[in-house]
Amino acid sequence: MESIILGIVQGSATLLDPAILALIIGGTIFGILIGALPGLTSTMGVALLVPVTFAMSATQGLALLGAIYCSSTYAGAISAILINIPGTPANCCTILDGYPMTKNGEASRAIALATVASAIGGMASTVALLFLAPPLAELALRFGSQEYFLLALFGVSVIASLSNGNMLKGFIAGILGLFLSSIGMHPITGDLRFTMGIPELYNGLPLVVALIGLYSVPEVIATLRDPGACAVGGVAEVRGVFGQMLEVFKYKVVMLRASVIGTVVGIVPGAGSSIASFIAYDDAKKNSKRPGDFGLGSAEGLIASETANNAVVGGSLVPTLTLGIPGNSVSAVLLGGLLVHGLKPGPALFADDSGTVYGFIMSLFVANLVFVPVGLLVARFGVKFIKMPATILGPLVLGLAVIGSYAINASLAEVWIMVAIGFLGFLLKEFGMPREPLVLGLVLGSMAEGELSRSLALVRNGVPELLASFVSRPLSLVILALTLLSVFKGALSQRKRK
Amino acid sequence: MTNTSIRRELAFSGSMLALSIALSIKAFTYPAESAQFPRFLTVLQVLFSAGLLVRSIVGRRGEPPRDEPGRRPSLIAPLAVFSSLGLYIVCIQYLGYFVSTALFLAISMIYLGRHRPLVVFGATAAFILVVYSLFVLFIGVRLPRGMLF
Repeated sequence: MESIILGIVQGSATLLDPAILALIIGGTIFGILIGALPGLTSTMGVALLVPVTFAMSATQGLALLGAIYCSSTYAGAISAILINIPGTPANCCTILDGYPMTKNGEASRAIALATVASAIGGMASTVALLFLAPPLAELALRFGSQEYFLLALFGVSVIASLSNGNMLKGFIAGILGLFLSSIGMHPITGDLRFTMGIPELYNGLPLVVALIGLYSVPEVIATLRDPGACAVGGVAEVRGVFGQMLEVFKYKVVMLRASVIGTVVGIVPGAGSSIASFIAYDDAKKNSKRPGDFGLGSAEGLIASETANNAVVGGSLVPTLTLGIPGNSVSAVLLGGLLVHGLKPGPALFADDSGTVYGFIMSLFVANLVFVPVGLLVARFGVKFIKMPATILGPLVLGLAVIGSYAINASLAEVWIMVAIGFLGFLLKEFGMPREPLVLGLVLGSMAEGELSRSLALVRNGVPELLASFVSRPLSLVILALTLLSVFKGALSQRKRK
Repeated sequence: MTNTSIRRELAFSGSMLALSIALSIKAFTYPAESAQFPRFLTVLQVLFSAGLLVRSIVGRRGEPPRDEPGRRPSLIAPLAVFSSLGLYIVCIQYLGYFVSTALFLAISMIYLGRHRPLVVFGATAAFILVVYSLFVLFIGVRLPRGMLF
């Protein structure tokens, strides 16, 4: 407990740096624009700005990326409420009551409630991150190579088994991600594998470049295929929102329940913001005195959805920071950002880089406060920008993807790699393959291979003895059981859906 | 399922299986110590892809296909995106980053139906300004120079 309080003080002190505050504000503005623009996702926003953080200190870079994550998750509500198009998948549930409120002439009220509820959900989950992450990190100190290898497989299997309606495709995508991460030099022997003679692949597939390709190119194609999706008619005026913000405190219980749901769902790898908001929405409806209002413009429904999706932010970072297992695709990209700055997520992170980690967590807290006024201003004045047509947006996003992937190592070969991965992402999307398991596989692959090699080096009789050690070590056994349970549950729920 | 979607599913699962087998064969050409992980993954991938193919075939038999034409997504957008990106990257090597970017953005917007010069010029100029300030001035990235500058 003492170390947590010390960390909070240390982290708060780093926020006194005016550059960090400026980056949080800049990141919030960028994140709100990314989130509010239909077709651009939080993952894409964070991935595109990772190269920009190279010139910054780790705390500054992470504060920028964290601010984008928090604000873009919230900002999808602006377009969901005003133009009936969720800005990001996290805000799908928000349109159920947000847009009906706009049609009822309550656009300003809906924006005010969604903004404050999002901020409260985000801050509640940041508090949870502060107090849950260190104990989990202490537990993780007992992990050996076997546990880490199984943990990587667990992360991929959970996210694959949660793939919408198609677990088999989820597993194929996850394994493909793990396979792609094995391209390049073997971590111990140094042998080259699957590099096709391309020197840029000797050190493995560049993670950030791959993520940029995977999340920008397919989205641009999807937006260009359906440009009419953004071409909506008139937009309601947003005025007097500041005066309506306090109303949200009438719904304290709804926000509390949604915060808990969002945080817990966020901790589970792969569950994601949209699932959290639908669960919280359903929970609010079941416990409401006026369930009949849901879907017709219920403030409770809107608040539950928006609180929960922002509460996922802090939750998803708990396993990311303590175990190196990202809770969702945005935190997977953030994990890439941590690695780029030389930070190794895992139990030692809180001891070795406590100033940076606590600074990052406290910056999330500040970002949740900053997006309230910025979001309200964007909703008031930036509506025309939100309606930016795909015909302008598409080329700009592709331009950003090219410069982003070039800037990392000043290499045009990496831009070609980005395009190739973008093509892969397009094919996956085209054939209904989820991209999230692939991303998780890409991120966790090198850890899985390294730990597998180390585990094999520790046993004398090769694979049979390794398999036996999975069962004989209590922590390994627990992780193995959880992996099998997640696969079994995924298969069961898929069968039920059929 | 429509005939189109069944055919797509079969083609996809068949291609995945072929790719997995090819990668698996390649993985077994590397020294055993360096290829344990890829071998394990490619063998798993073969099994899962075969499962997907079997499921597609069984699903095809179990459910009578409907003749109604499934809406086939247009290939124009992906073709336009990948060919323009390819040309853009090639142009960067010869014309330099800024000239190529200006051409790429302006031509793409005009091709996609933005004909007002002010909009096209404004968006292109704003983008180049942002890239210059952020990547050249702030980060110090050396962007490729071409024949012009």
